[in-house]
Amino acid sequence: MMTSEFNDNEDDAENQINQQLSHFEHAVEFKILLDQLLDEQSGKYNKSYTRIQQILDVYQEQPHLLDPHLESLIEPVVIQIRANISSTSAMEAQSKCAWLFKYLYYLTKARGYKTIVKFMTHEVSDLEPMVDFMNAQEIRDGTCWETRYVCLIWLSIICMVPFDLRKIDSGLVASGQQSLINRLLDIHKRYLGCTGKERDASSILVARLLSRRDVSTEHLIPYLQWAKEELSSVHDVFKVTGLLSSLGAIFQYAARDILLPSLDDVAFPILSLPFIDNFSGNAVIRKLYIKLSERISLCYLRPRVAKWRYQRGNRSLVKNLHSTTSSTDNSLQANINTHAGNDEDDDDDIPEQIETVIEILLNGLRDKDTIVRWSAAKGVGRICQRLPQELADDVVGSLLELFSEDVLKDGNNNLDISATSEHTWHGACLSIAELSRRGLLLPERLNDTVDWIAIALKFDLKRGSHSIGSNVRDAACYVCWSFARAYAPEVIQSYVGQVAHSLVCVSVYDREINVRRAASAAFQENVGRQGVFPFGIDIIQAANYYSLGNRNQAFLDISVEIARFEPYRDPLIEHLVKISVRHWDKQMRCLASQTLHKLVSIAPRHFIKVVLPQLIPDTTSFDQNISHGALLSVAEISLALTECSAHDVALSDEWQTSSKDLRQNISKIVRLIPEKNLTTFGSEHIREASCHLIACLAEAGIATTDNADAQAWDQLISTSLKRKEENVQKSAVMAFGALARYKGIDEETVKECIDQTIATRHLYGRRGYVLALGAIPFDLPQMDVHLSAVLSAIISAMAKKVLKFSIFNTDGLGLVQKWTNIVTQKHSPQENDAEAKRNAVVALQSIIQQLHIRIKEAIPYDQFQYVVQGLLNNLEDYSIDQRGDVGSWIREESMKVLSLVVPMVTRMDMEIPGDQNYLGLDTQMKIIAKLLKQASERIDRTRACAGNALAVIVKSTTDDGRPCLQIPGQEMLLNISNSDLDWTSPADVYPRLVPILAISEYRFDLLTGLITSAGSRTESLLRYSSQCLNEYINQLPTTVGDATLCLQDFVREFNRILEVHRNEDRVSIALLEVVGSLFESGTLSHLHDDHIYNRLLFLTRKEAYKSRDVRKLAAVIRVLVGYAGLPPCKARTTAVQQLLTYLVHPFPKVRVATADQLFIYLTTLDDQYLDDRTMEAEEIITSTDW
Amino acid sequence: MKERNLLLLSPYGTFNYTEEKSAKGEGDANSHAVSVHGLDNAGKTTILKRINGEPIDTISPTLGFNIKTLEHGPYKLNIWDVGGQKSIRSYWRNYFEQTDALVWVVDSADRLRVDDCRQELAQLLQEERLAGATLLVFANKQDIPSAMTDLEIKEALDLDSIKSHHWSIQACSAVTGENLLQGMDWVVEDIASRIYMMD
Repeated sequence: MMTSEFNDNEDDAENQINQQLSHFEHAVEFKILLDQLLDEQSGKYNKSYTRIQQILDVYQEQPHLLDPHLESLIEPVVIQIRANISSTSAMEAQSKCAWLFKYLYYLTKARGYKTIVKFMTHEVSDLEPMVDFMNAQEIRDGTCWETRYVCLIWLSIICMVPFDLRKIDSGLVASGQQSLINRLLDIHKRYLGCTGKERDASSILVARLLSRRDVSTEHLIPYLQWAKEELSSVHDVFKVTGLLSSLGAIFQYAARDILLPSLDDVAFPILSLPFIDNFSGNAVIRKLYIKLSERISLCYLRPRVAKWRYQRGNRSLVKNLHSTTSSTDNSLQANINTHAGNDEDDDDDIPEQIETVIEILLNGLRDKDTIVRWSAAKGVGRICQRLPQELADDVVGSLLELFSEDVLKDGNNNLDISATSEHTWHGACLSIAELSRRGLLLPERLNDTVDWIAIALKFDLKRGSHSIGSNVRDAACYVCWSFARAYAPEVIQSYVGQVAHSLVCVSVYDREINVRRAASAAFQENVGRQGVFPFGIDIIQAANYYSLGNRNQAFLDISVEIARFEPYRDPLIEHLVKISVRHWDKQMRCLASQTLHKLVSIAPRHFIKVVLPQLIPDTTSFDQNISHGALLSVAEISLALTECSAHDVALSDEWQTSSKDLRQNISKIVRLIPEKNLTTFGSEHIREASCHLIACLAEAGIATTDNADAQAWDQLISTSLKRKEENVQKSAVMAFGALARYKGIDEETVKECIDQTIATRHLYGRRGYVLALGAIPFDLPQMDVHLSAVLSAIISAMAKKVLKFSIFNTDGLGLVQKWTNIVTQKHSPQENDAEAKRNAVVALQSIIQQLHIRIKEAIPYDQFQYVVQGLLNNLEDYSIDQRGDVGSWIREESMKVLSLVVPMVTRMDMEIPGDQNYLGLDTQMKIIAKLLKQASERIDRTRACAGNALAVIVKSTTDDGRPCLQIPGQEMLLNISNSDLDWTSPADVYPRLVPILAISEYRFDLLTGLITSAGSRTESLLRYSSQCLNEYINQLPTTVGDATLCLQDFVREFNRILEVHRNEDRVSIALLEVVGSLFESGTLSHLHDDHIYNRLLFLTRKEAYKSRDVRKLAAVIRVLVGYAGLPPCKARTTAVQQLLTYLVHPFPKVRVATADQLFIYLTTLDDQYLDDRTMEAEEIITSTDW
Repeated sequence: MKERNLLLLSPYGTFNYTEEKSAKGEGDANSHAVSVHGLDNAGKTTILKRINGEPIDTISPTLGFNIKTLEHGPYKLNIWDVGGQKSIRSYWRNYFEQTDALVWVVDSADRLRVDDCRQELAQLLQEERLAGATLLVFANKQDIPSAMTDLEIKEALDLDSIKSHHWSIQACSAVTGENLLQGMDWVVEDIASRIYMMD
């Protein structure tokens, strides 16, 4: 889409979204482009126009910035078009000006035609050429509709010239040509039913034309009649739209006295034509219909400002200023105070048609489309302005009735709005706002209104899984905003409490960002204009447009800040408890409960006395939303109360001793949760919340008083640990940990957990229980008795195969030995469960964290070695299931543990001399080697994890600054760790890693990692890894000289890798591919060591043996061809023989690959080897269909 | 002090409704329509060009109409200047829809046609669609020594009898530019003071 020439296009597009511009930044560039467009020779129209469009798009949202430049942007264009139109034929003018018209259209798109049209010429002499030009246009030509649109707009201003159109008609009536006016009307009618923009423009044209005095007398009524007939017979949706918008425009522009005679006979009957029912599905037509109805009824009524309207004291700034300035400034004389005057005659008869129109508008307020409701609301406002007081009051009455539509009352006289329509409420709010803005909602009516608006501010109805009503809340804020502008403080005074509380609650606790902002704007308007809102200014400073943009912040920070102001505290808490905590959106419920936690410290006694007793019955509700929210809230409040009473003796007394019953009720909650809530669809949320409750209660020291409760708690935790949802398990683990910390843990429970962990029958249970092991509070020394058993269980669970062992007689050594055998075995998926293994590592991490500096005293040396060995083994976990490399989770978690444990332990080893070293040099090097391997891995995320772990470990120092590790290549590693290496980027990582191959201790692992990446199928990864590796190998000397590393060593390393990873396709294929490419690049041909060659060939053939993997075979073939290129030796012969067997392989793909490779080999042979036999071989290869 | 600042900060346009309107600058509360009328040779176009900072040495009688958009403080004024020749006057009424203010320009040196001027103004004010519009009378050409003062003109035009409109008279000179701004200031302030009440 974007061409490279416009590099800044994307910036522009970004500007459009992110930035508010301050001026027309592109002015200079724009002028140049415009000149190119105007230059008839430039021929760069297309390019310039495209760029112009891009620039204008940037200003689409702030078009007023163009205003200062508009004249210079339009005038030259208009003049050039005009010159062309009057001097050449229509066809020629069109072809010359097509781009200019497109340009003008684009300006109208950005700025609106009303502004642009003012800059078009409008002289008498323009009229006829333009009409001729327009008549020559081909209506069906889809390429230049802009021309027709712009011309129609242009005509609409030309035809406003203040001269008699009949006189400026160059006439020729005698010669049978039509009059100018009729030609204009014909043009209009031609485009009336258009499907494009021309339709809109033609409506504007006809309205301007017919609203002229000299034209209207003769043509207006006939046109209206024609339109009415058309409307009653036409069924084309575009034509109906065009007719309606034309009529609407005419009734807007034309003077009332001209239209009056047509009203009863022509205009009003249009409103009852059947077309509106035929097109009832079309929102645009309904909107135009509403507009037309409104304008027709306005025509019936004399324009005036209702005298009875509510006027706020000193509305006129001038009046105020004038009284102080007039004495000094005599030159300005005015009559300001005499406004009330001559329109005494309120007793005009109000025609009955008005009632019909109001009925139409009230129905429009119920419409399902916003544009229709909005038009109707404005219409109601405009009409009421011209009505006498009693009638307008009737309208207000009907509006208020809209609110009560479908509202049910329950036994206690509470309103139930669940059956109402959000459309109706939205429409009603809009119209109330319109009326009050105009002062047409008299203070007497406020009383009825405010109650409804307070409900509308919290209008939120559940429909299925989502809710509706954010538009109603938004509109209700608009109402409050307009109240602020309309009424004097004395009038608002009695509603201040209600309005202020509601607005504040909505501004911090609404789910939608736009509603929160709307409410704060309304509140701000009220504070600024009324000044009677308590603590208004402090609240505005806390809650404003920006700070409310983030919902978490609005809940957790701002609402807490506002709650410090006494008048708002209870309403805020009540809103949370009654609405937010029961919200349909889980996130809202969680946020609400966290907010309650923070609010407790402000009014702890209120929470004990009022809030908790209110919430406790809700916790056992059958409605899962209510129950969930209440459980969370009770949990948070209880915890917060305990926290508060820690430094408040009186409160502590009240909470700990006086509210025994309350506490007992709380501890009973878990037992009373309906069984169904814990098992059915959606029960994971309830479980999460109730586990959270247990955790909080344990932390808050609220004990279970009888056994049944205690059992219920344990029961809930253990069943939740077995659930498959990870979030449920997580909360159950938290609860388990908190409970263990509070009550202690008995051997029975530990045993149960370990049993579940190493049992293979229950998959999800294993995952949960192993996490629970990690949650046992090992920072408490009394837990140490369980440690050994728990660690053994975890180590066992980390392995690919669960190791059976006797818990209380751990023969660790045997365990590890068994292990090494297991690594390469096949495992049942049940046992080799990635999540369980990962959770085991997570649990291990948590235990080590808890032990912290006690680690060496708590874990005996032997067992620690098993832990480290287990972690290292984990780094070789490449388990794969349908989700891909799930082993990477385990590797990553293990690396995190290593980065935690290695610095910790090595530091202790260093700092306490004489103590047994837990991490010997051997182990340290092994760890580094394995991490390096991971750091060259295929997955970006894993690589980054390894890189971070490496950096942490290498950089760790003792308190006096000595490095904790004393390992080979330390400097090199430190360099890498200290540079800002982006580990996720292959291009950066591999060049830095490859040199480390020089260090023999790490070579095997690192090379394995590099080769796996080099054999990967990801192009970007493969490119960098194999390139670096090849370059590095190519520059190695063949045999040992002075260098520390030579090619021979390297190939020996290859052999070793092949041996170790035999039949592990992940590694072996990659390795074979790398070897193949090294043969191709000629690197390996210089190696004159038969032993190595033979060994490599032997291993390669072994790899290929019985393999049915085409990719692997292809790699093998490449290697074999490489052998063929060697000087004659035994290995070469064997390789070539093997190759020939592949030519008759059962797989066609293999045969083709072999033939290809052989052909390439033959063609690249040196001349000295070429003879007839090779020619013949080539012949056979090329002529056979393999 | 604090409160005034807050009012200036008021995010006009936070509501979806108002935002939509102001985006295109139409129906924007800060954009007003002003019509300039008066007999021919009263100096309407000169006043307009002077305010707009354009040269005023080559002005010929307006045959037709001019539209100018001026920025005045926070307000945007769409000014329609219609020719004053007798033949055109009957078309004045075509330009009145949604007019917020009427500026009536008087040639203060033209004592002969002052009666004509009063009649035309009185007739104009009958127009239904000007109901409630602000009326500013410019007593132009004060730089000519024989010119009538604004008080004289107020008497001559019988302004005190006008009850249907807010009005004010301002002595000025388009050639020197004297007092033009004061007049326009009054216009926008008067419009702004009632803008929330009217359409």
